[in-house]
Amino acid sequence: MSPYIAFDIQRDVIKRLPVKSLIRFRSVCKAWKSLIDSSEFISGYSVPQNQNHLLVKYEVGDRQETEFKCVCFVDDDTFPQQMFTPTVPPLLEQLKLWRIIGSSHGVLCFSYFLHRKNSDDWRESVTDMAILWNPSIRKSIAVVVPVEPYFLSVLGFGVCPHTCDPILVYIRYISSTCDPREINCIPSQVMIFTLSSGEWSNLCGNLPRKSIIFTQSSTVIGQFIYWFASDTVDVSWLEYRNLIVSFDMVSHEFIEIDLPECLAHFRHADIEYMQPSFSVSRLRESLVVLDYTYRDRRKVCVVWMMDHGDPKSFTKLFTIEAPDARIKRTLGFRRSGEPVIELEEEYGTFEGGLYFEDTLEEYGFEGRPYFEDTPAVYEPCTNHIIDIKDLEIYAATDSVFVNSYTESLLLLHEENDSIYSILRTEMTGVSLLLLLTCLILL
Amino acid sequence: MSKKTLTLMSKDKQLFNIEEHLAVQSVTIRNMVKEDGASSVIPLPRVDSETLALVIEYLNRQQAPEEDEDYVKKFVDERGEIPTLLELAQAALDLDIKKLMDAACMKVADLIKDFTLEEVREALRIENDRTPEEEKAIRDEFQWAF
Repeated sequence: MSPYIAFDIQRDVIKRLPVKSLIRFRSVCKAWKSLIDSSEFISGYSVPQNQNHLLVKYEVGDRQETEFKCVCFVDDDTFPQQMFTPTVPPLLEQLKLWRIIGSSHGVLCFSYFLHRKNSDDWRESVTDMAILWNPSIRKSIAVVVPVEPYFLSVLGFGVCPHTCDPILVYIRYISSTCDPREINCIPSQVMIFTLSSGEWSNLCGNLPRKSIIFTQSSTVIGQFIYWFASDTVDVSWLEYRNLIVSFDMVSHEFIEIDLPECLAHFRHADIEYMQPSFSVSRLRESLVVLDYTYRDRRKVCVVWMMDHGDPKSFTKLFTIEAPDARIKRTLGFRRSGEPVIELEEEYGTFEGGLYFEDTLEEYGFEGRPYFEDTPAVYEPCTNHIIDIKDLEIYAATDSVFVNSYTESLLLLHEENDSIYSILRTEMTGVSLLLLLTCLILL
Repeated sequence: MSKKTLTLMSKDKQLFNIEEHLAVQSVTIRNMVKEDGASSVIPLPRVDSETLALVIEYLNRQQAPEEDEDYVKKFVDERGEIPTLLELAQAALDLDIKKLMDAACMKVADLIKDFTLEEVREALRIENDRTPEEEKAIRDEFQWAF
């Protein structure tokens, strides 16, 4: 037996360890720590085994008081047995008004906005905050987003696969209530935050066209962040054409992706649930468009996939339909390709003594059923819905989010709970100018 | 035409015969064969006979490509002792047999992932080159993991 193990072998063993072991084994010796801490190791680290997790965030309770819950599952053959409760960053735990933007390279991105005191008007919101959280190493950082009132905005998040640098893309545009043909003189503004630089900078050139209206539905695959969007140019007023806009995190360019005719036609939001008719999602490493429609008065979800990253070819994969259940949304996809869906379940009937007491009778709610949401897994081949009832996730309406993430070491060198708040000064100048122009036009 | 046979010699001078077309799964042997048309005996001065016997057993497997992954995994699983696996990994490294090297290292990683720091050092024959104070400072940031 040789006295020492070649470092090549040690390195090969180390790169196959799960994140938690790596965090502990940084203390084994100096050589191990400097290997694990190196940027090459962090960016190259990926373990094919047991690394996928599904994060489920939801709220329980009634409309007056809700409690925030967050659970994770190991997304393998054991699903949904291996469940654990992640350690949620304090910033997220305190604030309820947040949503998941996306996940990339093991980092989940959330955003929330703080209100100016004494105002609930969204236009008065002064600070948007993005929180990047790597649950595997229990680290999170916050980034202040330079939001200005009176503009609509979307936030995109991704990790550049080449540099392993987390990127936030902030796109501001004019409200859809303005006729975009009249406000073409106002540039849409895009700002980029890279964690390596620690600051926001304006993106000049190759901005999305001003007539494009983004939706909050986005996903990140490879080096691209995709949004479901609509274009208002060349079609009559209030009649949009759907498309997908992507942002290339390597070249910092926006690309428009045309949708097939059946997906390009704008449809108004689903009245019953007040939810959009289309959204984008990620199925393994492919982009999918979810098309919500009605068949025999039942809501179904058609899953379209963009083939091999070729924007010209979308194929219909399958239709999620369940005769015995009320499908609300598709929340995400398991690594196996099965969708995780949100079902609406009858929970009880409105009776006196519950909340809304005074209004029950007035509005005729008395005796009507009310619903709670529960996530379930859908099997496309058999059309079966696999209950994850054992988990007893019965959530408040529209509060369930599911996101898949992989284990990674990103944010290892960040100071936990630190806040990036430095804003560039020219931002304010440009914004004022935009605001003035908008006011003049109105 | 009979198949060409190579002879490999372990550190302790034991000889092993193997058919050439199987032996060249090792990139190192393949290069040696290419260079000098394979001399009669190939010496492997760093591989002991026990390990070489295992390597030969591995190279002699007759598996369909689609079953190969499972076979390699099972092969190392059955030899689940860390010292044996490390010797096997060392031989696979010297002989440049990637699949065997990957599988052996994967198995070692799987075995040590829940070890204490002291157990890891012992298993991989690593010396702790830090003072207890330094070690504590590194631990403190990720106290939850310990």
